[in-house]
Amino acid sequence: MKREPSRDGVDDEVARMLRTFEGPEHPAPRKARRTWRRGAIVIVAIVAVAGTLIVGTVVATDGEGGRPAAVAGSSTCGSLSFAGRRYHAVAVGRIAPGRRLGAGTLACGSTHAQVAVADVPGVAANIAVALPRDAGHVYVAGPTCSAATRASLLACLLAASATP
Amino acid sequence: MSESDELTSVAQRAIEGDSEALDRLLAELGPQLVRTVRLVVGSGSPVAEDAAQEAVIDVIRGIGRLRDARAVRAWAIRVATARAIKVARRERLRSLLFPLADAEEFVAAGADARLGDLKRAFDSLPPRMRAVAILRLHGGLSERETAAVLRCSVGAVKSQLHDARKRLAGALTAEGLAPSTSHVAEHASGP
Repeated sequence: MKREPSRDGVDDEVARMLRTFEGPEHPAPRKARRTWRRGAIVIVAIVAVAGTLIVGTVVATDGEGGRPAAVAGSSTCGSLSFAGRRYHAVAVGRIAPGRRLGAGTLACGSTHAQVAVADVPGVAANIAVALPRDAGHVYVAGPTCSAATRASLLACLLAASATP
Repeated sequence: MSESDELTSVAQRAIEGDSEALDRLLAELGPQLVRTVRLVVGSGSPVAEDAAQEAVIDVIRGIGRLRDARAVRAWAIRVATARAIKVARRERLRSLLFPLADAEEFVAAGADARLGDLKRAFDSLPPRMRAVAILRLHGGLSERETAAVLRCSVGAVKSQLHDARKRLAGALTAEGLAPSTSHVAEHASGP
């Protein structure tokens, strides 16, 4: 006959399980997302097109449209720590930072500076943010949109934000 | 100065806009917030990690509106838990409409099959019920503190935890898994 665990027994097992699966102190770095079903991809594509029409952020090209923006924008002054995650700078033509989110730490070589961090209109902050003092870069978490060109970067970030 | 007074002092400076104080505050509270959100949303899923960071951002953006620095810990847990429940509910709906082709299976260091089974049963509980169990059994909050975080009555907290225990106990016995023998021995002695 199966014996039902006592209340304290269940509590102890649950507490032990929660401690085992609680994970590290900081959010894990962003990874590339898995593929989604066709319906979700269609919805994301529609939102991406609508997003680029609605959002009034200007992203200019300068003849480097064929190269991934991440390569074009590489910089030693480009590592940002914000809200427990690391972001790297990616060059864009020009970005208009949105609402202020708080302060982050920008690493330039061996020096670090506290900088104001703002959101990119329409883009989730855990995907990319902007610095009011640096209108030429967005700061992207993880490998999201790493293959996007400078011209398509914003659309890619918007689409990634729309992905559930 | 006691630890609690120290935290209140740091929180007060963060409320007033001191970014260094905010950093210290996040260093102190961040781990608990991140882990709570991760467990409510579902440890091992990338969505949980995003939600954990969003919760920290919620705290950063809202700290200036906190009126009582002494309540900073409870307030931060409330903000983070609200975010976690919102994301968890959305994920439950999303998983019905757009299931992943192959869901990521998370294996924590030190986990055995029984804990994995218990985790799966736990992750199938409604988000609010998970939050109650996590705040009480993992976060160490009292019934009253949990009720304040979730903005509900103490009775609702008791009821949710009771239901959670029943469901998880059912999962444990269905799998033929009794609790650790030390606990069984401790409770085996009758009146």
